[in-house]
Amino acid sequence: MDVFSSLWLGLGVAMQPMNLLFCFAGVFIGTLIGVLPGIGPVAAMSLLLPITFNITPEAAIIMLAGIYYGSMYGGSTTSILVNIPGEAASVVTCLDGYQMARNGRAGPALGMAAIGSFIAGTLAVIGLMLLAPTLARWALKFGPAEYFSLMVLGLTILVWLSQGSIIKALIMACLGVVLGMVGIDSITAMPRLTFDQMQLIDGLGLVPIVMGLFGIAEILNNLEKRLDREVFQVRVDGLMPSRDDWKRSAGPIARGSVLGFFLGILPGGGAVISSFLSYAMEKRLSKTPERFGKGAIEGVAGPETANNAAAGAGFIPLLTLGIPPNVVMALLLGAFIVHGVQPGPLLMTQNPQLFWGVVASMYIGNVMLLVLNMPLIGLWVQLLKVPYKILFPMILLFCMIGAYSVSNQVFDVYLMLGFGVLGWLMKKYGFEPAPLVLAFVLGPMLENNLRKSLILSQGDFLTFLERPISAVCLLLAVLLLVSPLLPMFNKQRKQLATEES
Amino acid sequence: MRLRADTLTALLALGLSGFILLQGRELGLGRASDPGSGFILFWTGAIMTVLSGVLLVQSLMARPVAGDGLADPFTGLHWGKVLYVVGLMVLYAALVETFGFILTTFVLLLVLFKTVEPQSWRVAVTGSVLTTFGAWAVFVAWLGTQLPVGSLFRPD
Repeated sequence: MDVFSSLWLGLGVAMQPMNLLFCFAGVFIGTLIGVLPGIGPVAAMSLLLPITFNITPEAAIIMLAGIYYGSMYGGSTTSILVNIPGEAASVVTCLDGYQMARNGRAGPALGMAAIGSFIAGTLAVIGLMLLAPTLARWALKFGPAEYFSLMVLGLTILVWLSQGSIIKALIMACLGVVLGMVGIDSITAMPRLTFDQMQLIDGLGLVPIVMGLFGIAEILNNLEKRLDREVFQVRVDGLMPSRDDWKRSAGPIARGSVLGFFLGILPGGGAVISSFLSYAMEKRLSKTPERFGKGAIEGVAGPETANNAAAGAGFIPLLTLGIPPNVVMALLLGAFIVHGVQPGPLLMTQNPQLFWGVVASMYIGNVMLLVLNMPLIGLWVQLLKVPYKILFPMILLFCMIGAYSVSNQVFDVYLMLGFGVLGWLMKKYGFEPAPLVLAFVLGPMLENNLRKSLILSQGDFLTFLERPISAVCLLLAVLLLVSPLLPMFNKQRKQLATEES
Repeated sequence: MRLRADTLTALLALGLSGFILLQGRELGLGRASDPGSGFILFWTGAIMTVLSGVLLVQSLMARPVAGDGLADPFTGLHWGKVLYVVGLMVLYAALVETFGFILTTFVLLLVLFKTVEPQSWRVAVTGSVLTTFGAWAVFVAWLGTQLPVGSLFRPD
């Protein structure tokens, strides 16, 4: 089947009324959590993962994917109107978006953010559609050694991009691998780290861990500060950018789409980094860089485009290799597995309805998001006026429900609270949760592939270096780990990490 | 002597690494051609030991700077409020299966609304009732999620 007939098949799946409804629910919730500071896409997806158990895999993945790329749209609204980013990828939008709002140009800023996001989101889906089949065919040649090395590289990039200490990020990744091993060993059926507790036999749940580290910890961090936030009182009208705005934004949108797409494929926080790099690039290319930070529309168009392109591209490694490049995709991998589907090179041939249905739903979701973020902007502005002190008990409650409903056990609620407190303390002492979560998801796969490689090679560790793809991945991982010792590279890493933080 | 945050976290990580090493060894390392259940666990523990050691040495050798103390990240923040909310949630988790979702949730929300950032009774009661029944309607009635009815209220 060629790409277009496959896409036609996908459109048939995505246009089914139930899938359309879940696509709308996903992008709506995504916009909502993007708008609301204090809960991000990771926490929202983990909260809603258990409720997808009763629906088809197509509807589940379509909805969860919609939450992710929908949050990229919604995040810009708070950045522009309140100067508080709704999620990490919209931090840089605050710089010029809020200044535009202060100058009475909130409408064009919001409009350009939505239109730029739409263009980038659509281009990323086209890129995904064209690149994924080739990458999947290539990935069929991968053996356990390649998969092991690729996962090591993925984790290393995430660690390398961590804010601050690489040592601390590596410790977190090790801890994640260990936590991923709790439960029955899939090869020998021996219980590990279960301490004779029945609740631990099946391993620790991804949802309580993620919700604790990202949802509860965030609420606890907000609780110790002042809970009031100011809403910039501004009338939002005239959303369509002027001709001059378009002229200034065309270049940033084009460059942001390409930059975001390629950075999004790489493991690590693609959407966040690409938004910062796009901003830096536009400022550098601009003939009037002094306008940046004072309300330059290029400072909104570029980053908002880049983060949406990266969000779309992030699906490529997951769907074609079965390897999640970031925490959001790790959660999506969990959703695939819960529904008995293994993402990877065979997904396209064994589950074409699911693969192409999800891809096609992204086109539709992007159109829905444009409608949600342009004519309905007033709704989100009203929502911003709900004080956090009213919202936080509700978010807490939803987290509790989400954790409990995974397995109907209070144990998971305790687990979530434990990880919530751990996440709160980790933030205070400079330990990041992302390497832990990604290593927790990749840990069992990493172990399986390492053990399989060693069994196949009869215990020869050189097998990882004799296979070219594996050797290149390991070499890159080593170079990244060694690079902080070189002052020039360490400076660049710290700059990227600080931007991401 | 003032205890630095990184020194304590490195010591904690070292202790944890030692425990992981022991667990890995107990489970069995196997052979390189047939790795055992404890193989990865042991080597992950070994890597963690080295990393924690490096962190410990770094923290001991680094020059003291403002804000690197163990208690410094808590200075000027309402951390007592955090402990209070966590305590309430633990209590909620302990009671929800006995008293059921609706009653326990209503009480939890009322207490949160009235005590963390005190709201008027009207806001607190309305917010608690609407959120409790709204959550019940969405999660139980619409999405089919099973939430505790409460052992006290079961007919048997």
